[in-house]
Amino acid sequence: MIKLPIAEPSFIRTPDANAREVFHSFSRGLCPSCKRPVDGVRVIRDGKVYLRKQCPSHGQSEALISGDVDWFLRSLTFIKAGSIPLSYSTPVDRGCPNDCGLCPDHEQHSCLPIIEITNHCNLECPICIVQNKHNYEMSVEELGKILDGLVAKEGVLETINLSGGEPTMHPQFFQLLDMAVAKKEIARVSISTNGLRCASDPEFCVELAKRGVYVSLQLDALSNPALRVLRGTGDHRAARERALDNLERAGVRTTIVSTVAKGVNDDKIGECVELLYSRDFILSLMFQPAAFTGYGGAHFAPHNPLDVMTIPDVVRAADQQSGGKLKKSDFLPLPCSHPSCFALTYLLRTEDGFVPFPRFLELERYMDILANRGTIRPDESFEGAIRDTIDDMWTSAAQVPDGAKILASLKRTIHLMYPEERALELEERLRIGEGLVKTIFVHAFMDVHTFEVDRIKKCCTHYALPDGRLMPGCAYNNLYRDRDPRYAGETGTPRIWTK
Amino acid sequence: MRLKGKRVLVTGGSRGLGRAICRVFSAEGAKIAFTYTREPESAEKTLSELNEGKAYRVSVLDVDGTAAMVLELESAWGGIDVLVNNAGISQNLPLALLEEADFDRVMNVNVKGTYLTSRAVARGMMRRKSGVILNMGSLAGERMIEAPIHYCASKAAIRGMTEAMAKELSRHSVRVLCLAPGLLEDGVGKNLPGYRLTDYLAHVALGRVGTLDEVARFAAFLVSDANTYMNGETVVMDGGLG
Repeated sequence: MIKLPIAEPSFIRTPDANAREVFHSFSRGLCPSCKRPVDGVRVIRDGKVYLRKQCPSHGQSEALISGDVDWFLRSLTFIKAGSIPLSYSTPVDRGCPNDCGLCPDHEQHSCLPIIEITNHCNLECPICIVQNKHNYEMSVEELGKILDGLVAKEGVLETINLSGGEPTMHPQFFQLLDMAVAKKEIARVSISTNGLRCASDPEFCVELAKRGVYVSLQLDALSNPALRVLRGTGDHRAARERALDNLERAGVRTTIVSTVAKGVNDDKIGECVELLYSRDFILSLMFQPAAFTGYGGAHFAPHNPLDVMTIPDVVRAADQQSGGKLKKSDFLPLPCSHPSCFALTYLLRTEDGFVPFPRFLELERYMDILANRGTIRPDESFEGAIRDTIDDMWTSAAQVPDGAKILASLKRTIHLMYPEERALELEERLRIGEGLVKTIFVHAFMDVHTFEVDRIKKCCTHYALPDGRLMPGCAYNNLYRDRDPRYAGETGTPRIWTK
Repeated sequence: MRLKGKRVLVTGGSRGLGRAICRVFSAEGAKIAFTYTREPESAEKTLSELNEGKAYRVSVLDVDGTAAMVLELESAWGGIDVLVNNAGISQNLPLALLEEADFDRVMNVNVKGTYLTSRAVARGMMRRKSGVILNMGSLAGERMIEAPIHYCASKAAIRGMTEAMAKELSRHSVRVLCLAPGLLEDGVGKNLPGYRLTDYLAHVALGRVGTLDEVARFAAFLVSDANTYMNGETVVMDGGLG
């Protein structure tokens, strides 16, 4: 037997290795100048991950893609096979990302279709990821075609989102909303809004509640200085607080969406978490590290692609600013999209607060549970995971912090979702579950600096267009939006709110 | 009209299978009295489906209330011919979360309640040397299936109680039977997740769950005068579970 020499650590470790640049992998992104697909590499430097690309015409460019190499490397193990849609709209021709619609090379179906029903908006946010031209309102016929197309491609849909522009400015808003709500194949309809109409019109919130609509309320912070940098002039704080009050009074199930820009509101993450914890009608919180596309791509300054917020930066800030409520280890990458695009944690309501699921449930063992939706479905995977967890915790209760409290909460959850006096329909059970579990998401959109082809191939957040195409969100924003025939023509007259 | 003139008491008759039994028995010509504990509106709905009915808000664990109800029915009707012990509950709890109070509650309602009501009603039946007691069991008490252990234990206990009671009361010409349905369109089975229902149905020869009316119609036969030679049996009705 040949005995190989064993290398001593001193032979294979390079002094100051952590400070040196290390090649990680090849990638393919966009040239930030001409937006052509170009080859690149991911390199690790100073504990962070950077994307470096080489454009034949415009030379080298570099951007930060992960603020924590440990998070980045671990996230790559969060992979599961995607689900393909029932049909595609475009053939494979020029190669990703130039065949979008979806083409058969795409590796994930549409988890969350977004329908932009208008490009009118009453804000002109410096950080906006789209470029509103104030010249388009979706027709009833167009929405009908989109909804039919979505059902044809997906069969049934967990959620669709009506967006804009500001969707509540559409003159036929409720007519369009009712069309979506009436579609029996669609379980939930949400709207993305800046909240100005919710703030000024309590009856509008009541109408949303009557229809069971979910609201994604854009709210980056609770203080005006940060909000004005991101959203422009006006007393945004007062408007957002009125919107929150009106939504709460009407009982509208709400998600807070916070765009986080480095040096602007990255110190406000804790107050958003506090808002989620303190108000029952807020079911989830979505942090979106700022991406610099659309209006914001051209207007937001200063923007240094080497010093931006990434998912692990948001997670770290949540750990530091939440007073112990959240830890870095409470968050997990989402495996059904690309793990660099989403992270999340679920929070179980207990008698005196919330406990993040990963503190008692080994979510990494049950990746099927992780999905980019606010509701945990009581399916086979979830039931199996919960039953394993209950048994594990019960047999080792003394070793799990708050074990008894968590078991009591799980029992209460079962009693509410499976009451002894009557059987519930699945949807009713899900609604009860919404009051017992909250979710925090971190969704990293890509701009021309951070765009990567392998991420876009697994994108499950798609814009649904009237021509039948489903456009992966970041491909559309970076490469297709300015060619969308709906928005061609002269820029209309904006009606900007400046109170 | 298989139950023409029969005087029937059904426990837990305001919803689900209990309501179906009341309705079908009434259509077969019986006078119906039923108990309920929670929703008066549901009891009203059951009453509205009966030709002749009385509703009593009394728990099967309320000994005095049950005695008063039986006394009132005996006075009004001159006797009770049929008792259907249908009231029952279940809780979807794994062993780890199943505490003593949970176990006691299910056993109390399902087992002790059956015993207490039977005892109150059997007294008159024994005196008149006539009567039928039908206990509602469950497949969960007959087969090794995934269901809460206290519920399964309670339904297995009902089977045992049925046999002992049948033996003891046979000398008074009172028959005692147990009907054990599989999953039905309503009731405890309705809380099953879809994937578990699919798995269950894959093993059912008829490929579907039972309806409440199917069970109620068979129950009507079991307690009728057409059925004179069954006693102490537990009849499983599950569409052919393999």
